[in-house]
Amino acid sequence: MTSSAGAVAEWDVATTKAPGAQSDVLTWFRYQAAMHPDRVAVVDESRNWTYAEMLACIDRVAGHLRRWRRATAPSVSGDVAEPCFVGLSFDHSAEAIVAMMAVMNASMAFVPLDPDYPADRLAMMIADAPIPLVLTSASLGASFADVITCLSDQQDAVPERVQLEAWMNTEVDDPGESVDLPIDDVAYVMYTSGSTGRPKGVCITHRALTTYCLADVDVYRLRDDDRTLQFSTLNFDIAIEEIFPPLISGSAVVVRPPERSTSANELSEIVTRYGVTAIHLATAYWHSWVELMHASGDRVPDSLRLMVVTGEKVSVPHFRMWTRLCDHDVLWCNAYGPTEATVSSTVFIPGGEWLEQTAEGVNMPIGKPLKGYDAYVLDEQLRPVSPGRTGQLFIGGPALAREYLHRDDLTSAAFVQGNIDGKSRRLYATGDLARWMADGNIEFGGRLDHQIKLGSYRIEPGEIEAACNECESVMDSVVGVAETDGKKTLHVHLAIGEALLGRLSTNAEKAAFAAGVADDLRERLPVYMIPSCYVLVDQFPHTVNGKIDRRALPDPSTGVAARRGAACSPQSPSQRRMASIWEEVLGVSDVSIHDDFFLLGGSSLLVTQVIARWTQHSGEPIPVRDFFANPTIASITHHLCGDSGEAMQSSPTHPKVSAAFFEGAGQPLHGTWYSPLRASRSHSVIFAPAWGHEWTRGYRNVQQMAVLLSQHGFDVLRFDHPGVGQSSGCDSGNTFASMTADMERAIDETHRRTGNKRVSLIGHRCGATWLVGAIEQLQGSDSSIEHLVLWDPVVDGNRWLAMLDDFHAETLVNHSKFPVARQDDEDVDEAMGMLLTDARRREIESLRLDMDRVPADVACHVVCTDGVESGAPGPAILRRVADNVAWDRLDCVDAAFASPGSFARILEVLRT
Amino acid sequence: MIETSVRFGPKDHLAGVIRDSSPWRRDANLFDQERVGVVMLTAGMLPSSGPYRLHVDLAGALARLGLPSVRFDLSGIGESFSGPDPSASSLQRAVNETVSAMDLLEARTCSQRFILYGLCSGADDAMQVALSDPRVVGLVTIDGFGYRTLGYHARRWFRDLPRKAMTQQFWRRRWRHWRGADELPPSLRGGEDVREYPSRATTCNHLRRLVRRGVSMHFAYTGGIRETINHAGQFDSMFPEFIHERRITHRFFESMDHTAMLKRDRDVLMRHLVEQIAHTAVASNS
Repeated sequence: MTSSAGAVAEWDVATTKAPGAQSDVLTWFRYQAAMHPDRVAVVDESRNWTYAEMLACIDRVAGHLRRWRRATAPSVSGDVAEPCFVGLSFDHSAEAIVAMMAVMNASMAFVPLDPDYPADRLAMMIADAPIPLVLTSASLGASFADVITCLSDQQDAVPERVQLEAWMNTEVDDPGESVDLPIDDVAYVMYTSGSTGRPKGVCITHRALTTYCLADVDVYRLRDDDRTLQFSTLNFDIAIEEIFPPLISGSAVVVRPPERSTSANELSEIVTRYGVTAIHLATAYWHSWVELMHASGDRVPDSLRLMVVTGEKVSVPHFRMWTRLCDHDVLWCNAYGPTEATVSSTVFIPGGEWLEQTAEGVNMPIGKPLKGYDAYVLDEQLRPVSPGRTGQLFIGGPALAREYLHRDDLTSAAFVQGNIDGKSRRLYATGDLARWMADGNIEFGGRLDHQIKLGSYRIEPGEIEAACNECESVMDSVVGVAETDGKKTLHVHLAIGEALLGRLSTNAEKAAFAAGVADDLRERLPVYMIPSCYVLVDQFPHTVNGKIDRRALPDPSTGVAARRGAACSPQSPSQRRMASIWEEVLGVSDVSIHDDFFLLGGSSLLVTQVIARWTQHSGEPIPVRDFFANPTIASITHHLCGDSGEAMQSSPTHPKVSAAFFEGAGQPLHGTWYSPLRASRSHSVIFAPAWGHEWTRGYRNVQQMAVLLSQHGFDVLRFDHPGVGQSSGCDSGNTFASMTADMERAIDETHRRTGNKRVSLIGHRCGATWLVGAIEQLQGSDSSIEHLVLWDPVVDGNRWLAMLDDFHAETLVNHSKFPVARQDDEDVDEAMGMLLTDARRREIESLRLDMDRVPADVACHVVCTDGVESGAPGPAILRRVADNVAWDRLDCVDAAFASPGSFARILEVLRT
Repeated sequence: MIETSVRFGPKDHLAGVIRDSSPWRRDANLFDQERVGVVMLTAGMLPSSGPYRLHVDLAGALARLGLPSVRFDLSGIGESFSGPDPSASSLQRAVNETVSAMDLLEARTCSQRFILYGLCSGADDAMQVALSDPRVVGLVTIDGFGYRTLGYHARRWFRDLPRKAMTQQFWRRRWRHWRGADELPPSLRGGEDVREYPSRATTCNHLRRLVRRGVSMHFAYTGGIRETINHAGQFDSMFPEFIHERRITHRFFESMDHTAMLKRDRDVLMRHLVEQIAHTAVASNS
């Protein structure tokens, strides 16, 4: 027995052994807090929480919980005769993690209550458990009113609600003592979809949770320097693997920020911003992320070390795409597991060779059982089937759930005793078809029943059908799922009788009827369970056995979306394109430009798919937040394109651009400024472009880089030195001194225009090398230079000039440009169109990439494309990019290049 | 001289630079009966400064003669953003955007008539704009449309290819290609040339219409497009019906490359262009 006060100090760090498989996760957490009290346990948007701080909060809240329990149920006092359930209604937050562990600490069990769930469903869960106490946060406190109304209407007990902040910050007079948690007590209950129309609560014990967490730490090789993203909602079991394994292994959990990002690629932005090393994603979300990175040219963020994908069948083409987007080693895992086995039961880790050895069209296996788990493929008599034969997959081991709460019938049906190898074992029947492969992995073969996996969620169609059948005028219903290009959407066939169907003669009338059904469903079901397509029939066809003949049902494409009012067809090209994307993604037809994406069945997951497709189509990313703010085709295209339904106009997501000549050190200089449309970082970026023909090769790419940076909040200036681009004068007259003076003017002018004191410089090729020499002088100006990015810098000016001269000489005679061999003009010194003088030559020849000249207070980064020499980066950070620009090839001197990898790297370093 | 950087187009998505003469020069210039402006169209995928800044230097030389000009980037090129109408053909979009540039130059410099100058695809675009906008009084193009003739083929097979095959570089390149040493990353490989000329008969019709409208036209060619033109006399062979048409002139710079990489070539080309544009401007007043 331990006292709650000073729990950290109670561990004798020198002599105490780490807890074992029989210890609960709280004990493991205490051990980590004792060993590393000052290590960061949780990172949220506002602060970092150390292990000691977290434990202190957990103990304080646990003390309040124990006192509350004594006060409300004096008869049971501290005993745990019956599990006492505490509802947790939180968004992602450190407080939610405190609440989970505090509830366990107080010998109670927590039940996640998603604040976004319909009041009806939450009320049902509260009454079912029952839940006498709900912990919530101040920001969500008011959102519970509808739930209370539902409970009152049904004459169910209304739970007490407590805002966690009040308990976290106050000590309780009589906290009581925390007891060692009986390992087979329930730690939490996770509600999942139930086939009879009632969700069922899966009871997970401390033993199951510990077994899973230790297996997770083992298979994913968690390290104490990991930073795992807490991305999933709390009522989904991915949240369990995001929170507990990192905390028992002494690493940090990074909580997803509550605000939507302005970035189109929200996930990459979060990973990069917080240096996240490990992510667990639902498969569909991971597919979308890969598509988004592919469409936007982003790379897999550098910090990522572990990627776990779970929930549905992984698309091998997406995995192939992932390997191409990944420039470094990432432990990529395909995890499988039902909530009834805590989280994941099997994991497949495809090595680098797996893709090479895998033929097209082959499915990715779900792997082998985790440590502490057993997996069996059995026939109907619960006998093992031979390898290669299909059977039902059963899971065994201590990580199985104890039961379905108050559902003995379901429990006995799903958790069975099997005799395997002469031993009686408790097994969970997953309902999934599977077979053993020759290499010892398991291949998933689909469902035995109609259960649907949609995004992160496991859905029993029966639950939706039961809700539909309660809607007015609906006689019967059949829910199905359609899959287009790997995207799943729910549709429902509704039997409404001949008379009513006859009255609904137009699609608009049918859509209005469907809207009424959808409204009713929204009262009962979570958003992800609302069908997006409604097919109305008079009655269902039946087989000779009297069952509904699913194959004879009308094609879902003949259905309508739920909508009131007349459909307004897309008018402009952008609206038509957006509508077609919505129809593909949502699986509906006849989308009106005024339909709400989320009311058509859209989810945040599907938003990313729309964004990926739009980006691929137009090259213009849509920030996630902008989409949420403009959820109709009319509003989003108006927002993106100023589209009013007539001609589409240029997209205002382009930055504000102004161009002007400004005073340089000698000649007026031509500059183009890109300003962010919103959310400026008050940080300017100025380019020092490449020289000679390389300036032309890089022109458009650098312009696109400038646009990208301004879309991410930077003010950007591109300017031309005299005799370059649009600026007057002669390039051969430029000296390093005059160029430095020009750059000083450019910094001043940018400061004058933007007010930004923070400046970063990006040098390209010779522009980068020259900047290294000039940076000390430039740093002395009024503005502070934060980052110096050297993009494919020239290491040695002498060699660069020699290459240029070789190119020039070869071009004159090789007939590639000139029809007849030409000779150099003795009076003109030029190389590939670049005019030179002796002085200019001497300066270029003296150009060296000398990193020692970079002041210590300037963060220097070298970004090099494939094959480009980086020199000795010294204190700079070298980032390699797989794109090949072929600076050293004569046959590429006129080839404009694109390097999306460079974009991603440069953006990444500037945002640090 | 006055030089102004501008954004224009329906949503300011196009970028350009207007160069005008000083006001005193403007008052004194020779062409001011109705002011003539010069529009420099985008050359291929190059930014509006032109190959090796040819267009910047040309704008300066024209301004010294009192001729205002605008050089600009078509949508999606240089500093211009993607265009407002993705469904329009690239040629139609180029026409629309060039007309916008003419409107801008008219508003800023009081030019009411225009000479279009275009290199490469800019030459093709200029022809289409001239056909659609009556304000165009002159065309000066480099490496525009061309049609192979019998003489072209004879020169190619009996003069150019043997000359090429005599060089070391030719065989070295063949050897490298055969060994696979020339393999380029896919992102840097050249695509098919997207320029498509109208048929010769269509071009004849176009020329006839422009002649009837009084548009002066000068077609310059370089040795850089030897896949189409390889002799000074080829233009007359292509269009014998216009041999005596004074509004159509042409010139072939045989040893010059397509973008005038060498300074002495640029100087020659520049002088020629200035002469032709000035000549066209004067002719348009007559």
